[in-house]
Amino acid sequence: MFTASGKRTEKDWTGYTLILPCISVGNVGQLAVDLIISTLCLDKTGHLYNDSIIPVIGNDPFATGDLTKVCRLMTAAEVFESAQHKLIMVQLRSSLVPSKREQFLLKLMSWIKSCQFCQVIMLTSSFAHERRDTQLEGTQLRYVASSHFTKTEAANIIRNTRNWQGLEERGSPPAFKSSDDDHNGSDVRHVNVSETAEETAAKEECSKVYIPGGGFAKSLLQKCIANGIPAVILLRFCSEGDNICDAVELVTMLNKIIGAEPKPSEWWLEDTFILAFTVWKWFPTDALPVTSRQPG
Amino acid sequence: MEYPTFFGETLPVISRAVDDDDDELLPHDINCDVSVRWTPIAKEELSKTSDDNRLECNMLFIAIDLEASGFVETFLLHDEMTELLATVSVDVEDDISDSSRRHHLAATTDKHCFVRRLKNKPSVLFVLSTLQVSQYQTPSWTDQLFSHLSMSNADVVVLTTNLVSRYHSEQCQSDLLAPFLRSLNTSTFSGRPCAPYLEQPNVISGLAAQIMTYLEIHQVSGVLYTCYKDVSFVDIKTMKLFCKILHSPPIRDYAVKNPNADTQLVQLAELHRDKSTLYI
Repeated sequence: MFTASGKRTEKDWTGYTLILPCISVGNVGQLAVDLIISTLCLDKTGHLYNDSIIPVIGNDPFATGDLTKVCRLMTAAEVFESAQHKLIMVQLRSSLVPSKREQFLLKLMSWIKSCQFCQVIMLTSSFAHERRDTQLEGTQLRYVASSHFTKTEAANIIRNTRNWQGLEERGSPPAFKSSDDDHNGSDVRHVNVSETAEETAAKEECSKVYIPGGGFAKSLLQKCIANGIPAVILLRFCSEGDNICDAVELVTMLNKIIGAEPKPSEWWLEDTFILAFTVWKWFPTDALPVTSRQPG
Repeated sequence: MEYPTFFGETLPVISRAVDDDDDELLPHDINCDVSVRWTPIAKEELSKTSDDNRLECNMLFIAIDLEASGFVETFLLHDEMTELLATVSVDVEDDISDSSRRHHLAATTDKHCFVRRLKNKPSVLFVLSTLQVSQYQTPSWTDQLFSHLSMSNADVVVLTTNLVSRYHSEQCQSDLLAPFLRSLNTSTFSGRPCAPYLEQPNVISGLAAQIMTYLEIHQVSGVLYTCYKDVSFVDIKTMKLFCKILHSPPIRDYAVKNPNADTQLVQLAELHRDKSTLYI
């Protein structure tokens, strides 16, 4: 799954935090990861290579200057490292083959276990039109923490921070029950893996987690729980459009956990801060009133 | 997926996120595999090779699309001193859900993707693919082919085309002088491509992207040239634009003079124009 780039050798990442985006509504998770990578100037340390990832390439999305003279190949799934902050960040720039979603998650989980990350933070978003009445007002940021995560230092920060709200418990609507179950385990029938006691318990723990449009966040959380890895989902309710502001809010929320030093207003927005999905988003630096959009 | 607006009508909403409805529509049994059929000569050689069933390869040209294949056939392969090594069967992008049509096309498209090599330089290989490979099949295509080629000392050149309407630029579309070339290379490529690098935020997907990703992961020297064109049919101007790369290393060592190049290109363009059923 993981291949170190160039002459780098695989390093010991025991105790590091893994941050990864889920391919979700508005690509908020991916935008947030792009924002962190560009702000902290993280080094690319390798690639995730698997046949479940739809290929896409381009030139280095973080390069500046004369772009026609610089080439550092960007691939569909890249891994970045910050030794200073003990962070590993995965950036996904394309979607997954629908029938190979479960295979991707199993491989990803196996890599997470082999790296012995201390915690996994998933960045995602959820359809704004699916909110309940009580969710319409107040902060639009939510978190879903696994039972193992509640024992971590990051969980203390979450508990002691005002205005941080856990995602309201909600079962899948009956009309979508079968397809929602499909999302979180249907592919298992293709893999033909029998369910263990841990997996059943994880499924039970996540039974009231409902993140429409949130991609594989719930499935991966379930797998982290089953494998005893502390994991948390940070999400924002949003709709498709220009989702830069949503990404900035999500990063601000994340920053309190990872303590990556920059104050919220210092998150650097490049002229071409971009998302290498099929549609790239361009915006001028001064278009976003970053400081005035902090939650709480 | 449709949602009502304030004015009562319903509008289709497209989401990039995985959606319940989308998942129901997508078949779970998408065929992601391609089959590579090696010729008896290649099979015999593969069985004799010392390098773990891999054929020697020092130079590999991969042409994706009709124009790129036409260019390679005209300026690199025209003297017919080549031999066939393998054919690749693929599904056609739009027909993967229609099984009866799929089988029909799989049978008739065998020859649209084939692997050849020079008789006098057997380590120089050519892959010509004139059909679009489904994005789900590109990993299988790449893995199956490269698993039988010794790529450690290979230089790979990938040629493909794109529509200029997909090119993102601060310039107005009407000001872009199509066709034009852009390039990308892997980190182990030592030279400098003869075309400007592809600028952000443009991306390349499909088979070309999968091949370049494979080369980057396996640290193989590779360069990709893509031609942005403004016509949907096979165009002589587009094919001739690739001639720029004939003077750049390592390609210049393999270029051959073809006195009938122009005639050949005209014939190729006419062949595909006559077979086109658009606006018949």
